[in-house]
Amino acid sequence: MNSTKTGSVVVIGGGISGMLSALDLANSGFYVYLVEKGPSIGGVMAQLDKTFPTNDCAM
Amino acid sequence: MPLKYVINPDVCLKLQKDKCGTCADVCPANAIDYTQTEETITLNAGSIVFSPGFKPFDPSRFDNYQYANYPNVVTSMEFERLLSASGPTHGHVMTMPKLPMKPKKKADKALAEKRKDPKKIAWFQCVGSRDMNKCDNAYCSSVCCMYAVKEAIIAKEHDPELEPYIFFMDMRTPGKEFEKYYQNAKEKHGINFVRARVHSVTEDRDTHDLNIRYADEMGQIVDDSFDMVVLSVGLEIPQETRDMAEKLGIDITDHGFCKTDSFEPVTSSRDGVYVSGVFNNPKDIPESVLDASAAASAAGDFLADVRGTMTKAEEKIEETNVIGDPPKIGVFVCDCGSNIAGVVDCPSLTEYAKELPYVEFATETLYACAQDTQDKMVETIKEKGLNRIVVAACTPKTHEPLFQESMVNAGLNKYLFEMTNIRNHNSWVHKNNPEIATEKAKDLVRMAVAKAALAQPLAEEKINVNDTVMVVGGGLAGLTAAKSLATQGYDTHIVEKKDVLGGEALKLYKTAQGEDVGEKMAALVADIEANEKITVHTNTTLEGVEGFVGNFKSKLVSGGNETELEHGVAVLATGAKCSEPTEYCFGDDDRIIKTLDLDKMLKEQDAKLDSVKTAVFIQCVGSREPNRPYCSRVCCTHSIDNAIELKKRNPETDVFILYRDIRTYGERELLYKEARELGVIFIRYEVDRKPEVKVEKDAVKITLIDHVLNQPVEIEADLLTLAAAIEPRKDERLANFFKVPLNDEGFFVEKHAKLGPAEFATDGVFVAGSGHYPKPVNEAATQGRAAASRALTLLAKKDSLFTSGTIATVDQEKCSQCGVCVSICPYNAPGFAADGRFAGTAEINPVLCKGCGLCVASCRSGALHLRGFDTNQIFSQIFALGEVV
Amino acid sequence: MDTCIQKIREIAGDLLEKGEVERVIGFAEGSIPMATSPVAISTKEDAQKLCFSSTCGLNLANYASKEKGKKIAVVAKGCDSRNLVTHIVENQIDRDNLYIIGVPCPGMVDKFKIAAEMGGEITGFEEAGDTLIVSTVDDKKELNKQDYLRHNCSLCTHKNPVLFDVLVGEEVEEQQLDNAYPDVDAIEALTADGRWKHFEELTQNCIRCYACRNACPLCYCPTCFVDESGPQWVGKGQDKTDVDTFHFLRAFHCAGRCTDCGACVEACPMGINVRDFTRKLNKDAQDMFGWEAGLTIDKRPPLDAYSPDDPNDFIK
Repeated sequence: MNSTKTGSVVVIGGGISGMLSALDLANSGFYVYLVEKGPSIGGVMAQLDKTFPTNDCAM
Repeated sequence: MPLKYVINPDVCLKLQKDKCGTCADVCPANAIDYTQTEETITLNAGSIVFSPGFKPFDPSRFDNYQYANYPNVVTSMEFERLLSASGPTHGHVMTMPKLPMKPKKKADKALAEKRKDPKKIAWFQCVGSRDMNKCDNAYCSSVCCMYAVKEAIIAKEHDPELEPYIFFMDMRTPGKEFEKYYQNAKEKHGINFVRARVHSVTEDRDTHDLNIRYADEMGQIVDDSFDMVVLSVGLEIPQETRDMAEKLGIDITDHGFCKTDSFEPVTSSRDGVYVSGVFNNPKDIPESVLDASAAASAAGDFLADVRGTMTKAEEKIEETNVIGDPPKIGVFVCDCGSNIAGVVDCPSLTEYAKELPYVEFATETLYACAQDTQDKMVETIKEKGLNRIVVAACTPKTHEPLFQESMVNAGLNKYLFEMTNIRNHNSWVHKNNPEIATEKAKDLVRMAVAKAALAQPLAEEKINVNDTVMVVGGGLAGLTAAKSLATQGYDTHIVEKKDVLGGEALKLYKTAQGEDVGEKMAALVADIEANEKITVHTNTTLEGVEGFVGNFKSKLVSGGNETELEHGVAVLATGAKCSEPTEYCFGDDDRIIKTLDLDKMLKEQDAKLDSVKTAVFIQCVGSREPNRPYCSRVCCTHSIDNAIELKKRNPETDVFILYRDIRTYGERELLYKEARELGVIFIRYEVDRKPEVKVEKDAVKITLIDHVLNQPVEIEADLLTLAAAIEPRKDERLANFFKVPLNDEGFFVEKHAKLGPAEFATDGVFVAGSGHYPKPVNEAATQGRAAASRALTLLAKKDSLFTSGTIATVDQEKCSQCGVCVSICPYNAPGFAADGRFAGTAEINPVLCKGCGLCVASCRSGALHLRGFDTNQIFSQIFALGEVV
Repeated sequence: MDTCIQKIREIAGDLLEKGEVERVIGFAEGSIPMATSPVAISTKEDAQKLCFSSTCGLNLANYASKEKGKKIAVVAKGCDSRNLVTHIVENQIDRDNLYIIGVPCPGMVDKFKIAAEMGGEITGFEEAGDTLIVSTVDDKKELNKQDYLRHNCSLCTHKNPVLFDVLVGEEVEEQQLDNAYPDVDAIEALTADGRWKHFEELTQNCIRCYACRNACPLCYCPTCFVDESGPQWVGKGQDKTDVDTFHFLRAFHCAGRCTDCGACVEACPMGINVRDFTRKLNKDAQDMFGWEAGLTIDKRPPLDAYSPDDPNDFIK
């Protein structure tokens, strides 16, 4: 066992990819720090109206 | 997300000049703190997931499109906001959207008077992508073709009279269900597609309409006029991300994207740093989501030894038994700041609630969801001995879990909670009728109280999870998933019907990045075989599956021997195969081969290749046709890669690629560029004027109409490679075993096209690889890892996986055994009791039941009930509504 | 007809004697002319009680499902056989426990119509092919059977049993109809108010005796919704809303399952044409799903199945 390792992960970026990465890590037993430069998470996807090819609402 | 305001310190009067301070005065929650300053926090972490995203390309510097000067030239991102109901125009598409909605400047006011609903809009593709002339972005941004089609369709839905035009170079719709979307846009929605690069835009000074000029496919100059032009801007990595990459010490490409290995597609050049999203090459949402999970899997592998060392176990609070106690209901009315209280008379609503039957306590709160209110709620429950809680606030969809958590903290079963929405369904929609809104709020609270009085504590059954994993399919995706799962400590079984591991990848020569697939696969297979957590079952088929999440029993058959494997989750990675072409004289002559045959020749350094003087590739052989309406995604890059290989072997070889659209998305575009530079000749053909192939003694003769000259061209080739379509295995039996769906073409249908791309709607079953959709090496590996990550999150919950309490139950006395529930349930939850007093009657498997209520509504005998939404509760609400108080 | 009766008796006797079934359900002559009643026999001798004529209008499938777990034989006309199919599909009968004595059906007569024609108490009823010889104390008439068929029989396109183990008699020719639902069309053509009035008048004489429900082979729930008290779906009295609710809900419970056997109308003491409800839903099942009830044991009725891509155009 590598005693220098820490069971936590820093996720940089709170867009759709960063958020989901953070969730998967937190749900599989790691402590996660999600770091986002802006005032809110959500990234570009939260600004979209609909998504292709299903035309689902992006929110 | 969250929808909260922040202060921009650069323009805040209070911070700049210590004046104003209005926001602190008016904020009812006292949330304004001017004293906050930047602070540096040092985090100690085992690894990093770097997911910095992208910046939409800024077209201001393009003088030919005049984005910076013309009010009707907008970017696709701006147009997206224009379409959005939460955007500045509430979804009303109008011209000059860049002006303020209510302009104050005189010049702006004059302009705004000319605003209109656009009737003709043009989208220009590849703005800031595939362009070395005006910017340095040689790559393809991968998403613009699809988002432009989407914006055109949605805009046309907003206004059926709109004429949308999309000006493009190649239409790149190589994703799952994308090609159909594109075809529907043309055929059903009337979107016009024009293959042209528009040279420039000029403006009518008076109307501000836009005039454009372009050369059509026949080389004719066309002038046209539009109300609006949307620039489909590409995805770009900003300088600050490059700087940060440098700080992190990870390698990036010339365009700023992260350098990764195709077989470890989310691992950066530095140990412990993983990447996901557009920074890891331009990609759309589902691919970003796959990257996200893949990066989690990779980071998890790296930290496997220390998993669970930093997380804390939840404290368990003893549940109070309320059965038999008369209801004592507490009602919490939320003001939601002014969201509700600005319309509804909350004090009188609270007084009204106090008078309702069984209500012991009612109070008004500024924000029911605030942490201090939650603490208060817990305190009040304990102090007043409340045993049912009603919250009149916003939507349970977002907030119910929060309130239920407080219930649990106060020792109450979380199903003794009822929420009613007096905001979205009331104060928001009846803004102009406060009195009616208050009356409606009273009705809603009365109904919720009536229902809550009948609420019963519901039990959630614990699901025992067997933490063994079965991976079906020993190809790249399956092996990648298995390796991650085993690394993180789970026993993993790989079931492969062939005698060797590796799958279709073994037939490939090189990846798009030039890695030797054979070597890499051999290393991966060696890793798998050396891993003691992995059991490999080759020459084995799956002959039956029983059970459900956490408790599957699969029948494996190998050489007539049958074994049973008990496992908790399954990854279906059964892949796809190359189709057999039925055209272009395939099979008539050994100079006509498939892409994989050429790979084989290249792998084996076949001497025959040395004598090839003219090589031709035909693309879309069996793809994008009526019987296979999808794009096979990998063929363009693959053929171009092989064409380059041939050119490099012998620059004298003439190489032609006959194509419909070249779909080298992302940085694959650089290969397309390289091929052209090496002299590979690309000739486009139309699907209704396909090339004709004739086998002659000396050569294979290929005739087609050249798209530039509009003249027939004849090529005498000594090697013709057909880019045959990738075909799903269409394994209906396997799909049935796990109750997972196949689409019309036979590919697996994932849980959610955007947010659940590596899992099925069936709990505990995951998908990876080309069985989901054709994909190249790096994407198969990504999905393999993503499937592993999704499975890991489930396995990590081993001891805390519970069913929902709101599930169906059977009153077996009343059951007529007709079996409607068994037939109608989409989740296979009802079955017939095998023995006991009620043998033959229906029973519900609580693990499989999703509480949708379909069986309850379908039961003629009234034998089925939905816990938490039982008939008496629904009736009580209806009667409460009808009550005149 | 006589050879057919003979064969029914022979087969029934034989099955009972060999012990292949415990019971045979068929028709027996009633105590007055034109009244046949269902009978369950369990000895070879009793087989002589079995009969068959154009007055056997009840649906015997209704009695078959009450013998769960026993080996039985049932005399089945076209419609009875379709209801037996429904029972098999809905787990009410085990096909292995069921022996179907199929009778190609000549069509059943409308007793009310004949009674009205004769005017007095009927004292005699005989059949000679298509001629009905009916007598009262002071009259005797020869009637053409085709003019006195029950409405459902006159529109029947499945006279021959669809599922049977033995067939007594030659198959009869099935009629081809240009329009199987002229009566439903007529109601559909009314205005909304007109339709409401039609159904209001239709149910105004209902006495809530539930004879229609009891005669219907589809109504086998252990507790019918009308008898349920917690929750109480329908009031128990003669309130018009409750009466209508009973008829509407019963019709919906039969949607996609009703074979239009006419047992409900045959059983109604008030002469209500309950089929006006069920036939509209039969027509809808035909139009929307191309479905006729009880023709196959391999498929469940359309409303018993769910698929995520079911048409949902009605949600707008």
